[in-house]
Amino acid sequence: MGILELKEVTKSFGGVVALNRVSLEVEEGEITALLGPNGSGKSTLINVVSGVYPPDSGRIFFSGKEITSLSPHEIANLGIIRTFQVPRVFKNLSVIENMLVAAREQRGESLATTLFRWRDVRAQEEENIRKALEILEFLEIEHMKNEYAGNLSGGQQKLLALGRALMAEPKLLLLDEPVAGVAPPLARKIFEKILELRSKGLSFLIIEHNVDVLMDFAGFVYVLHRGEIVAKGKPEEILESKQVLEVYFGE
Amino acid sequence: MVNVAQLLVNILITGSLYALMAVGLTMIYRILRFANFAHAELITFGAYVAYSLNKLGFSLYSSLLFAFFAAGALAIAFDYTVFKPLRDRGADAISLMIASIGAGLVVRHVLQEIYGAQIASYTLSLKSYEIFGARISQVQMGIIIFAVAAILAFHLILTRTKLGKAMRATSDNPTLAMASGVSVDRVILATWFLGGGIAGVAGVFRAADTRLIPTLGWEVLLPVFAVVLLGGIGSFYGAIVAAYIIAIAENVGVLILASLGLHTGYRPAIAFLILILVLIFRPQGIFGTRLGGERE
Amino acid sequence: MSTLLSYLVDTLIFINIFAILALSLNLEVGVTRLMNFGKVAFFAIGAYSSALVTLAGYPFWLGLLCGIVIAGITGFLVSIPALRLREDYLAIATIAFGEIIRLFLLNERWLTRGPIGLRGIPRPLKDVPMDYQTFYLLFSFAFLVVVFLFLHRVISSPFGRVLKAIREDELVAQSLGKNTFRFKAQAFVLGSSIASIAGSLFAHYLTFISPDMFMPTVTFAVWTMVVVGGRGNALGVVAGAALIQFMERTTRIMKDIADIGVEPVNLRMVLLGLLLILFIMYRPQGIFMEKKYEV
Repeated sequence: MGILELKEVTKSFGGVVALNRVSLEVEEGEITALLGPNGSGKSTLINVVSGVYPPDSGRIFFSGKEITSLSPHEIANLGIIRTFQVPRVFKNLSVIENMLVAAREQRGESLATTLFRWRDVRAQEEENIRKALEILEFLEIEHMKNEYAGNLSGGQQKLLALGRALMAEPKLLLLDEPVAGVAPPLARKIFEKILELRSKGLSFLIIEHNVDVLMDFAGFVYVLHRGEIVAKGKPEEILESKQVLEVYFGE
Repeated sequence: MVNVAQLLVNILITGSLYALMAVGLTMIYRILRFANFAHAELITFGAYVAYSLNKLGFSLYSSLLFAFFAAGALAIAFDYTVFKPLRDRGADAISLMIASIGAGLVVRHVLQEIYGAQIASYTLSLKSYEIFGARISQVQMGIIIFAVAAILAFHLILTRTKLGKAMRATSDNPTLAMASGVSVDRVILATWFLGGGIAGVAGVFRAADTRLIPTLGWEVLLPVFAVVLLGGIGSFYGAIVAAYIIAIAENVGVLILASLGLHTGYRPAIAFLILILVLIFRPQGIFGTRLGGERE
Repeated sequence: MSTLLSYLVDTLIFINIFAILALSLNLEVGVTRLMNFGKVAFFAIGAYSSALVTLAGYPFWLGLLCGIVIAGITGFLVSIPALRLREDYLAIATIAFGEIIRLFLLNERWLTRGPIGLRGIPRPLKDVPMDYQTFYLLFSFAFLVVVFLFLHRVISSPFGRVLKAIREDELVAQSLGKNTFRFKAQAFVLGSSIASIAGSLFAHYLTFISPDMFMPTVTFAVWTMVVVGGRGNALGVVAGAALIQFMERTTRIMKDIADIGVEPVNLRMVLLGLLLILFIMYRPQGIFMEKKYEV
């Protein structure tokens, strides 16, 4: 049983079925890829798993615990952190501030603690700043720490979004097209970082539209088409599958 | 004992005025996607234009046409000087709303400077009739007749003319309308002019029925928003229905308040309460569709 | 004290009071992007609570406290349904709420004496051995300083950071584990309670309050202070309050000094409206921008 399990998840909008009885499993410590052409329902799946929409039917489990009807913040607090297709950084906040927001269990988020135990809050802040700078350095954007996040380039914003997600101490990362629109060298670098993180125990479910990059890194692949899983297996199997070729080039 | 006939007459009058005032507001809210608080001043401006003409010797009814054009022109002026520039800069709904509050303040107090803050009244016939035990003044008959005529006229415009169809298309789906070749700019202009004009005429009637002061439009603006939201933003027919529903709620509500020993000064609160309840429980109103973003 | 000096002290007192009010709105609008257009309601709650409690014979600080508590509870109750609303719906709903409060003040004559208002509101520390107006200037300024420092601490804390994150992108904040509703509610309650403080200071300075002092125009004036001064910048907002209040008080006494050819209230309101339009159009972030957090 994997760290994330979807059982027959269905979601419709208006009359359109976005997800149709989708079942999938993400193994712990694995990079699982979700492929599919545009409009196949990939982002909807992430939205449903992360609690943005409740599914119409079906169930979702995280490490055996049911999370089907939890709200986004509850799911995030369990350790499932997601990113967005467009890097939604906090534009008018500095890079370091973006990172600090994501830190977990901040005493200073309680009004009472902020008012009466400022020293404890400051101490934890220092610690979080240290952690944040470490992650920024890992992602090689530490030099931008005091820049407005909105002033970063698209690629840098994607890195910041990833860094912010890491700051939230995830157990499972749902990445929505983490390298879309990113130059190939940087894309490779991002995936190398992902591999590094995986070796530290993180699990990944990554949506990608771009087939090549993902194939070198993914341990298991699901292919989504029109809201249904049409293929699943190891990358090599998928690459050779006629069905997948049809999905991508047949229509 | 309640004079039912009088109650019905009052409901008709209140509802008709609300309907006339709400039509322009609801269409602009839908097409331009913001709550226009300066709409109050379209109502007030029409009333004052008629007042000036009235003082010059025109009868109230002949000045209605001028009020219509004046208010319609003011509406277009608002768009040209404030709202369109903001739209072109990509201003969001709240910014447009704030700007409309500012525009309203300016016009309201320019009018107050010109005409003074005290109560003014038209020179008009105070003749009234009695129908089935209900008293109804000549002005009030005018209100109901004009409302029916205006609603019919607007309905015909919406269904029979090219402009009307363009307005409906733009109201349903502005992007699709634009892509289909509808001249959205012309629709916007027409909506401002017609909606503003009707509001101006409603202002004349309201001032004639009650009294004329600079806050004439402002004091009914929130109830008119209640009508707009209850009917569904952008729904012409919804606004008509909602106008009479709220008129019923107000007139019957006042009776209930009195019987409960509560102050009838709470009458405006009836519409405010409906407004708040609609926003919380059914923001799309009776006939409206979701504008998007209500799902939190 | 000469009339000119007296007028200046009077203006400064009003600046202190409205700066507190503006800072409370800044927390909601500038920091968290909560479109609260019902600010005057909590200002009124503070004024009336404080006035009624002290008129019943109790000391000023108890009146102040009652206002804070009632405003806070009211703010909380309002926030439950209101904070789920879309921005413009929240704006409209809060204006309506403000008007309901004003109608309450107008109609519940047994409590508030209705349109007649409350007179003879006791002055705190009225036997202080100095010119009372000067005293009140220092008194109100002390409150301003405390509120300013308090909000500075709140906004620069991790709590404040979450509020800013909510302003920037609420869904992302949720996706990072923040229960955004709780944070928004707390900001709203804080904003309401602080507005009440301004209301109490207002009531005790004027010693007379009536419902028509709490019209939506007060909310619009405070909004102008925040829009002009700079959303998210506390000093900017105080400067905005100073500017608008200076304009207010000056136009009020203009009539006594010189004949300017227009009614002061109309000049005031037209200027307010123009400021709103011009700033929204050309400088929506306000004069002073929010300070960037750097390490």
